[in-house]
Amino acid sequence: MPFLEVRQLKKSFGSLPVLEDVSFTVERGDVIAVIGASGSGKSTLLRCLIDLETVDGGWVTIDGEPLISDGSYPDPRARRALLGRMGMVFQSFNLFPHMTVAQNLIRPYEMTTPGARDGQEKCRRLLDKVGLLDKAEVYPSKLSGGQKQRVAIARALMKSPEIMLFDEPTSALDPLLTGEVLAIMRQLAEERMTMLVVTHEMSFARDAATRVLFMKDGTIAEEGTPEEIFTAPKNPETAAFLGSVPR
Amino acid sequence: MDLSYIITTFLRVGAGLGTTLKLFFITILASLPLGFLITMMTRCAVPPLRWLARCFVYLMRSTPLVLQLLFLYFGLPFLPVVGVYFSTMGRFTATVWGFVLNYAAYFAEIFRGGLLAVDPGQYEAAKVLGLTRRQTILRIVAPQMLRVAMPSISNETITLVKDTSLMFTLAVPEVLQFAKSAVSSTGKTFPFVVAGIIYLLMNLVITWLLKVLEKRFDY
Repeated sequence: MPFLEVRQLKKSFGSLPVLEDVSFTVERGDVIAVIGASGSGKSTLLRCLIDLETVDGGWVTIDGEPLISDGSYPDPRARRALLGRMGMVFQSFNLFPHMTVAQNLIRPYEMTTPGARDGQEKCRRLLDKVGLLDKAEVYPSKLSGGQKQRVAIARALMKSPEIMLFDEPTSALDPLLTGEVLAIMRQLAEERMTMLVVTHEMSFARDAATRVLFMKDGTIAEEGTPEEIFTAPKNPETAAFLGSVPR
Repeated sequence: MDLSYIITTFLRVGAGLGTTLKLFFITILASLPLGFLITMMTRCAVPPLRWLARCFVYLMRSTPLVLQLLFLYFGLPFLPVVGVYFSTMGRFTATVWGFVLNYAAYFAEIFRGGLLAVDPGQYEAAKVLGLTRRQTILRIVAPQMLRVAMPSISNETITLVKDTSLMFTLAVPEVLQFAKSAVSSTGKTFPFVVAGIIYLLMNLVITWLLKVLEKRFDY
């Protein structure tokens, strides 16, 4: 059974359709890169999966449990429990500016895990993992973009998610700073974290992803291994897109 | 003008300080949370609550506070049916109601501005981290809103110190009232100077306190 199953997902903003019959599956340990032009529905797809947008129709199943079935959602408790198993990283980091780096990790964790005593320890371990243990007591305003995104990744990992969603995690960064963020993501991929990554970083899609989804006009126009997509795309649209982006 | 006259005058005018401070503290402590509640109501998903909150803010901001005080004390008892319950309301109680409601409306507007300054991404981050709506508002949004709202809150707080003198309207014995009666009975205007000094001193302390508070929100 796939870990994440998406079937015939539909979403429109007013009269503008953004997702049309999107279907795909994610196995545990998969690293899926979602590529495509701006406005193709990549980010909306991710946001629908983690309940930031309400879909108009379709099915989403996580580890056999329905998050959306035929366009309707389960009761809030079941919904919350499922969403608790997912982590998300945003393009604009969305760190809490009034909390230090350590507080950004620990406070939400303690709010959502009453009685948890391992917050401090987990926080130290994760900050060490992203190489920012020395910034624990600093406020986000004092960090560079790359550092902020690494903190955001550590924060999302606090609740030990089973799948991580990345929404263009390096798009807001200075090109010189994307490397440090991609390195952390590559490390997560090597540790077999299940990941769904919306990205314009073709190098990441090519060498870190296990599969690539190419989206066009709210549908998955082509799906395959990085090898298939990058060296022998079947769909001329895919080839046209790849020809237009810097590799 | 000798020292003993100065001291006597300070004591005489200062006798109203208790009432002035009482009104100040009750108003601040009650109107800040009430104002926040009204802000939440103006953003509520239930339309009647939204309209109610907006009408309230409009009413309170668009009529003079003095008129509101006069209405609360002299007008309410004449309302049909419910008026009888207000006929025993004291002058100070009426003033407190007027101040709390009026300042809550102003604070509600200040908070509304502060909320607009909070990045929508903050709500999304809180949601994907699993925070409840309540936790999001109280632990994530409110502190950021307060940072933006702090200068306006400070301004309003200083205005409140001076506005307490509007109790004069309902002849509640406070600083200005005592100063006025001292002026009337002695024929000298010095008690007014003393009242001015008392307001200056109160705002000196409050300005300093607010500075300390604003620093705490600096991150």
